[in-house]
Amino acid sequence: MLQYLHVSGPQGRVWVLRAFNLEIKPGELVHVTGPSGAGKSLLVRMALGSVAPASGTVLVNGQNPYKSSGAGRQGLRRVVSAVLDDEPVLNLTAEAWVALGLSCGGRPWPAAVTEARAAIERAGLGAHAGAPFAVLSRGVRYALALVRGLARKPHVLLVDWAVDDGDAVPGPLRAEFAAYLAGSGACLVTGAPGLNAVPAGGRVESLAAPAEDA
Amino acid sequence: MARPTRPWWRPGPAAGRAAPALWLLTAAWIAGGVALWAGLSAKPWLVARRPVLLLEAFLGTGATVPQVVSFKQAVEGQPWCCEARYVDADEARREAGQDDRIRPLLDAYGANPFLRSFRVKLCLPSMESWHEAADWMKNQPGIVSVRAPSATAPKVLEHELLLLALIRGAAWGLGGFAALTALFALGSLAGNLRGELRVYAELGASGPRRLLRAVWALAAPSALIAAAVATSLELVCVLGRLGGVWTAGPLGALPDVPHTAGAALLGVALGLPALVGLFAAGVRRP
Repeated sequence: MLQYLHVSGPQGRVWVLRAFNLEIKPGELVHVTGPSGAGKSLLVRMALGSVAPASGTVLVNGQNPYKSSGAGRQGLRRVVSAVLDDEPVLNLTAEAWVALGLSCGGRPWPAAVTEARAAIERAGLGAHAGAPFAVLSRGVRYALALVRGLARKPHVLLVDWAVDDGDAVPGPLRAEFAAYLAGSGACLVTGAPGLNAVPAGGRVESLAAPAEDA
Repeated sequence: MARPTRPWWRPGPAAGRAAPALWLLTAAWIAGGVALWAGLSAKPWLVARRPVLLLEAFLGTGATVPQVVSFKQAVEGQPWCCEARYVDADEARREAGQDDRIRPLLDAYGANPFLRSFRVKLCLPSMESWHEAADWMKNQPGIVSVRAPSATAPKVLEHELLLLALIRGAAWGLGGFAALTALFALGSLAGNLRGELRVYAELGASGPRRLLRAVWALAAPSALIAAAVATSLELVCVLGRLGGVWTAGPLGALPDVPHTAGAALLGVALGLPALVGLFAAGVRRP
């Protein structure tokens, strides 16, 4: 479902991910750990097709997201959901923010709003639905990002968000996350197991510290 | 609970950060509006300020009444003729006699030496073709000679051309400055929008959808400002004239803002952001 084949990539003057190999199969959860700057977030960006590897190949459902045509990349991004720490905060309510994710995935806007509202309610975050997304705490924003990620029913879920306030993730959402993993969804999480309300278990891949030479 | 507004419909990127760019865009469209106003209305304004030009066509002593009537009808049918007045020999003599230096000469002469004539007032936009008008009249039956303002007309036209070149040059300069300023402001707004478009792309939004968002966020404020500028310029002209603010003095002949100037400004205010939005949404790989 998600494969990194001999992937390497420079980050500025630093060389990271030397010939890195990883395969995540359906129903598998993989934690990628490593020191800061080791390339954890770069792996997520490569899977989204936003960054090209310097060498090697990344495959999502057997296709290279970076080399795909516009429509092909767009199609791949609709089956991949990313929960990103550095995503720009838009001037939207929480409900519209979740609906935007569904709407960009191809749902008509009214259906996306209805679905987003139901997903937020189901996750136990209904009190925040009408609030501007920007004013919510990082923990709640993280929980809403998970709601959006799961509501898109992705083949691959990428989580790259270090949050201290993992308690903001309500029980029903944790259960939904666990159900997603128990199904056929594949999940790559940056950080150690047990953090960010991600269920424990799964494989752990460690990345080496970045090298100075490029 | 109210339904959330569509994401592309809401206000542009980070209103607080966008404020300086929007003010800059306002200044650019004001400059652009004034440039269009000056550029498009300079010629009619200068034409309206032209002095009246009279051609005098003298009738021969043998010209018959039907010839006189026929000439009057023919000359009034010409596009360059605004007015044609018949002056008989007695009236011409009376007019000449008002000059104290000429009156004794006329009295000494006895008989009336003046010819009948037509005084033809040229329409102001036709000043360039005064020569053709004079030639045409010379060739009419019954006309023996035509007196034309051969000294004044070329001078007036020469000054007018110089002034027109100066006004149009200034308008082009101001218009270019406005376009560059608007491009800079729109580029700044598009920069604010880049993060948002990255989110859209990473969520799998289609190209047209990203384009719609980019064009909306850039073109809507731009068109709104341009429409306000165009309306204000027209209102200033109309109210100024109605209130008598500039019916006198050098501003008295100031022309109204032509509707084409407002339409052109609105066109530029929509086209330029659409172009910038196209680049912001699609050219760079997200």
